[in-house]
Amino acid sequence: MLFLKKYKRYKHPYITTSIIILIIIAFLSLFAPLLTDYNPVRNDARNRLQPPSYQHFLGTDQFGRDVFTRILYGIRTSMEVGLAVVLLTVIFGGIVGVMAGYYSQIDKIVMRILDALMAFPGIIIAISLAAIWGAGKLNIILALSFAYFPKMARIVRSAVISIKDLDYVDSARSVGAKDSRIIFKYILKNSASPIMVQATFNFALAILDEAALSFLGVGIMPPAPSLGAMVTDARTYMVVAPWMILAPGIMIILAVLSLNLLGDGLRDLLDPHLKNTLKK
Amino acid sequence: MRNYIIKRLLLLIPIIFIVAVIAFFITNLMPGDPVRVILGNMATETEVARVKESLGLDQPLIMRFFRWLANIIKGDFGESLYLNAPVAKVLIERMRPTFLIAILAEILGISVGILLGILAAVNHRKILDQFSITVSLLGISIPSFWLALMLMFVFSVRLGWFPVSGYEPFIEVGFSSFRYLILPAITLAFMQAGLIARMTRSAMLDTLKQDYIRTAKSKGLSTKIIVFKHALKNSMLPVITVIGHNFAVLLGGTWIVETIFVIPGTGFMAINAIMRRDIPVIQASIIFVAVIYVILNLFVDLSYAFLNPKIRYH
Repeated sequence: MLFLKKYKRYKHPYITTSIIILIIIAFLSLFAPLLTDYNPVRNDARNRLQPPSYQHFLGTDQFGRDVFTRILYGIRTSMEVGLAVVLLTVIFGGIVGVMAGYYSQIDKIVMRILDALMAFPGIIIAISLAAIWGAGKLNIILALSFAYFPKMARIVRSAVISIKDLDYVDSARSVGAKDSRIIFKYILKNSASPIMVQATFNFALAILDEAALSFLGVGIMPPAPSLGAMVTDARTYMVVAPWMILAPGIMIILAVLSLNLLGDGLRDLLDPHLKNTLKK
Repeated sequence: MRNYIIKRLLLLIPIIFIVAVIAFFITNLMPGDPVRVILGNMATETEVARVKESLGLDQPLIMRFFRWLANIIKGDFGESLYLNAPVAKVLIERMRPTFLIAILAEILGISVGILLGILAAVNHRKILDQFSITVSLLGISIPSFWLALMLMFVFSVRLGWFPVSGYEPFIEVGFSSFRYLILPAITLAFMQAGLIARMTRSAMLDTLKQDYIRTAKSKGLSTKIIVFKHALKNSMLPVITVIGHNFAVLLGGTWIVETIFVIPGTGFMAINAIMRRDIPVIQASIIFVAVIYVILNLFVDLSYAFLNPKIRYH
């Protein structure tokens, strides 16, 4: 893969740092049940609001639940939502973007609709949709994907347009390659870089927005562990139990920061021209 | 240029139409029958039917959409189901704190962002660059609701510099009204500053590589003059785009920040409306943000022509 080859040559420091942090986070969320003896949702009335100690590494919350355990399961939820949203936006944004970019007959209409969709800030669309469909993991994933796919579609579209009239695509067409073959074999393969960069930023955004939705009470429903909902709980106890609010916040920042860093690194590495094309 | 402006204005019509379609259908798919919510559980079927008829809810969705659209064009967003007032009037009343927060945040974000961006570009690959990159990355990575609570905890609860929450209008208390708005504005400004600093830095780095900058340098001009007199203006184009695109994000951010600081603006109203299924208010709030986004971006596009005569429109 192009990415690995380039990475071996340049060893971008952003990418190295962020990938190390992300691997640790992925490890924590994958093996959460093995890393802690506590249950993330079981109450323990005797150990309410305990400060950090040897038994409770990051203290306990107002129901006596271990904060460290809830963070592990919370970041697990964030990663699940983020991954699913990235997958769905790449699929839907990809389909719409390729259609609009490749078939110029429908381009104008699709673009007008995407323009209108992009007039709504993602978080507003997501809040409204989550409120319609009700709280829950699947609904947030769908709401966030719906909010993010227009931007992905536009990026795919402009990549497709910049590639579809290049000589090598023309020659493939002239020897009789079908549209589907041209799209998959030549166009998508060569527009992978901007898609990867945007997907990384979408991952970061999805984690932030899932937390915001859960914070507002239209996301993951309690008692299921979610970093955003933990902040809602912690709000009331901010003065007596500051560890409750610090821990989930720092976890979100770590995950989002390393994803943004990775996005920046990928952009530098894969797309030296992207900066110029964005400006036009 | 005039033709271009007319063309862009005409293009607003289909976009705002689609915006209205989205706003209408999103809100009308909401679960929970608003009539049942108004009347309570004890209402009989005939009562429900009567209220539905009086609200026009018994007609097919498409018919309702066009009647609703016609009313909106006349500036009538309907009656709020809870506030007992016309939505348009409430929205206008509630706009003031929202706009004050947004503008304060935007001014703060732009000045800090551009300053950080310039510092980073001028000191490329030095400590100041690293510092500025870190701050701007933090700006786009810290969840605004968490930052809001942290600021509230430190500056209101512990230090007591600002009120913890609430709002008093400017007309009643004068300038001390701003004490309620500063923390919300800083919360939103932090993210804006991050976005703007990143864009300023990369645009500035591109500009500083240009030939005319080298000429200016070889003439012996000081860095200060080169940066502020020659480079800055030419790096502003992408920065203005970022500002235009993100003002709507900022308004979206007021939904969360106003809810945390209990400021009776449009965002607080929107979140409450969503929790109570107050459909006319939700529709108006969504359209409000989208229309501001569309208009602002028209201005951004038009400003290109003024800033860069090289860009020709046909």
